Amino acid sequence: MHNLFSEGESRIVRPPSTALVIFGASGDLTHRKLLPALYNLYCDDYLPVNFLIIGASRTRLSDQDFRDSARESVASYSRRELDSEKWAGFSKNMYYQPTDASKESDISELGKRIEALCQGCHRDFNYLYYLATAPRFFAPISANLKKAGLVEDPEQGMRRTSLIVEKPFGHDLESARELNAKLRQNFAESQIFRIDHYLGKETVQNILVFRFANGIFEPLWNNKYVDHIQISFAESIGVGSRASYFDRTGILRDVVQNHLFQILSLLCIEPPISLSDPDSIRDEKVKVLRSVRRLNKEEVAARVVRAQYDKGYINGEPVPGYLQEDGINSGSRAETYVAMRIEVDNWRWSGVPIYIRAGKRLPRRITEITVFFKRPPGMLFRGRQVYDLDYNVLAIQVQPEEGISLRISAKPPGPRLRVEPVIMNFTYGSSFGVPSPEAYERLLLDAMKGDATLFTRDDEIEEAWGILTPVLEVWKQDDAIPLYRYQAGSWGPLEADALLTASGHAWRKL
Amino acid sequence: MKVALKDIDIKLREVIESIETDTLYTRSASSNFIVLVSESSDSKSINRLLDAISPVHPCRFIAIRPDKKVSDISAEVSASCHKLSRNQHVCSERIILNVPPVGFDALPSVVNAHLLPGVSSELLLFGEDLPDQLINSLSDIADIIYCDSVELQGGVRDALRLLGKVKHIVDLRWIELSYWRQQIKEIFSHKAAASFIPLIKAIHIVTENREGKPPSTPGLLMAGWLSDRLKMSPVAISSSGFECDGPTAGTVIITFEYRKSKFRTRLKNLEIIFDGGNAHVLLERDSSGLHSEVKLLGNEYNFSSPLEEGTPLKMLEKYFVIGESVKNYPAALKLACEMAELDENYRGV
Repeated sequence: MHNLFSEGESRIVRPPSTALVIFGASGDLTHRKLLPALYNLYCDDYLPVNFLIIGASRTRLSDQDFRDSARESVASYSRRELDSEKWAGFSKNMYYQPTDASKESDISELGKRIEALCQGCHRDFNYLYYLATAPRFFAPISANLKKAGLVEDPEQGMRRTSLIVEKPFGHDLESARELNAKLRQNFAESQIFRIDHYLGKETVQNILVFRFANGIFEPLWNNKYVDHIQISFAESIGVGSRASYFDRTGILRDVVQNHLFQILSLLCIEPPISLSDPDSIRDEKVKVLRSVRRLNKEEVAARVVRAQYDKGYINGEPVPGYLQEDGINSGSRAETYVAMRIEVDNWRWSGVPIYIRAGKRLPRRITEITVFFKRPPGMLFRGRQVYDLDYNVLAIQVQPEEGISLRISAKPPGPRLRVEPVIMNFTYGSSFGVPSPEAYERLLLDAMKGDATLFTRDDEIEEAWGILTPVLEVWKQDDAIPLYRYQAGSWGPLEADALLTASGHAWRKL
Repeated sequence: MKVALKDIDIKLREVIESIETDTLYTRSASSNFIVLVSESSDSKSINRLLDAISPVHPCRFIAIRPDKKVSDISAEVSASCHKLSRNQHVCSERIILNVPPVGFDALPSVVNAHLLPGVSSELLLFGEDLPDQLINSLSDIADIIYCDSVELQGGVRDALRLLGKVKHIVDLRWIELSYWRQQIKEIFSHKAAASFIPLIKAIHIVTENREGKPPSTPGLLMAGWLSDRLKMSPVAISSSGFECDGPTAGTVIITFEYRKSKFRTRLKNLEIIFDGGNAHVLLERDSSGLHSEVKLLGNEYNFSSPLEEGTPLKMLEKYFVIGESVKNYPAALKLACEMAELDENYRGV
């Protein structure tokens, strides 16, 4: 039955007592993202009054070893400086259990430890399992948790047990379906939180507020007024320590299938029935992905450009080509850049080209969503010092700065009638005067509260793969589809520019 | 302040934050303005140049100076603020990069990494003997180029090549010719004069420069503009001059004359001669301005306008303050190039 007490109760309250178990506790993700995020939540009084953080991995560490290494990580990666007093209060709730998660006996031991710690607090705790591990461990860990009796049936018990999994969620449609099926053997869909940290970013969440809390934009948010949309993801870094993983994956799988398609679905979503019911939003997101027109073989060749970087310079420093990077196969065909033109073929967006590009070793790190509104007729200004009237451009910058800008045309001061673009800017930092929390802070907090709105549902994952799997298959089957080259430090191959020029468009300069 | 390349953004922010805040300071982010200067420039002269531009065109400046004496690309950052009103200032950030020849390949990556995103990038080519490699790589980044076509090694041909890479070029030599174009436009705005347009038989353009020799970029640009307006194209060169054909006036002969003077290069006078010999339009400059003598149907009219002489920098300031249409420039430039290519050995009359 619907919870009659939930209506109007949207206060941000501390989550109930939670034991967070992190599998892969000695790994990079835990130390760079999760522990700093948890520390910041603690400092902001968002963590439950009673919380436990239990690290689990194969590395042999004591509780104190884990706390010491966590302290170093927080000092290095937290957005706020480490405060000794706060750290003491936070770290006393941290524990470590050496665990080989593929062994039932180890998981069983871990379960005993969790129970003992919870009993020591004289409270009932929800259990939240964070799988910060390689994806091949997702299914065995979830199965072993179930076997050890550490997963409660959400329809029966009072304790919430949930599972957080990190991308990649499969490497194509079939493997994603398989993974979803395996996870659902042990956890109900409502207990699975697939994390895409882009959804934790303030600017991405703000897309919904921006669209639905402003009367002036939503009426324009359709194919009558929008000329085209660009979603750009640029990184100046290469593959670094992820070489082996990236070489098997490529950027289409690494970034487009998840982060950029999540952005796309929020950007193009129809108004949901409610913002407080997770499934209302996710239902609408799925509809967007389902509306994306699937590309056939010829369209893949014409509308998708893949490329790999050669040596070049990043901010003046020479950098090697992709094939010369450590850990990369000498004949690798992994794409480090992809640009594509897609269409959301529904009533609202039919005919609006959506261009997506993602690349490594581009000149700078930036992620931006750009909406180009149709140009007005220019005849009033012909013959004056006006060339083509510029598009009005709404740019939503996701990183590194979070904010929104709107480009409008204006007359510069002076007697002559001229038209120049001017920018209206909103940045989170300067407008609200407080730093934005890290994406993982919001997502961890929501998972502790059991709010799945900002997590990806199984059908979203499968629809996203449904769009890209035909592309991957064509690439795999047809060697004639070129893998273009681009110089590191450039904005990608010229062929990616040609993708837009046919329609009279151009990539926005970032 | 000298900074490492990786610290440019951080130090720029510090520079802006360190500005005293008893009044409101706004950081200008309207465009990126890349300036390529010649090696003979130094920090002082670059800052003087930017001081002149920033009050009329505040933006993020990235100045690039080729420098054979350094071994790596080095950077300096600063900001200059100008008063907008009693309690409001606008600040332009400045990055000055000294670039050795071995750093030419890497330079675009440094520039790209420090452009403000989502706004246009403008490139000013300032001075003579700018390295071709840098002109080419920077024009790939730019949307608009400001240059003086006289200072480009290949003159109008280089300008045309650059025009193919960007949305438009603001040629300061074209800006300088605006008074001439304006006066011709005004003369022919009178119906009596306009009726003589189909009778144009010849155009004689006199330019002056230090050698008294061709080529003359201002002369070619003016001839290109006149040809474009009269819908003519140069088809041949003969002993009488450039033969231009078009539907408006039939065949028109354009001739050039080069005189020696103390000036680097400029238009001296321009005569439009009509069929029958009884009418002409003569525009002539002297120290007091630009004067026109119009003879039509036995009547003589005289007009004058001030003629602003100026350095390229003055022309640029004028462009930013007043604005100037460059709409007809591409067609004029193309025709100027066609004339230049018809006879590279043309010596004038």
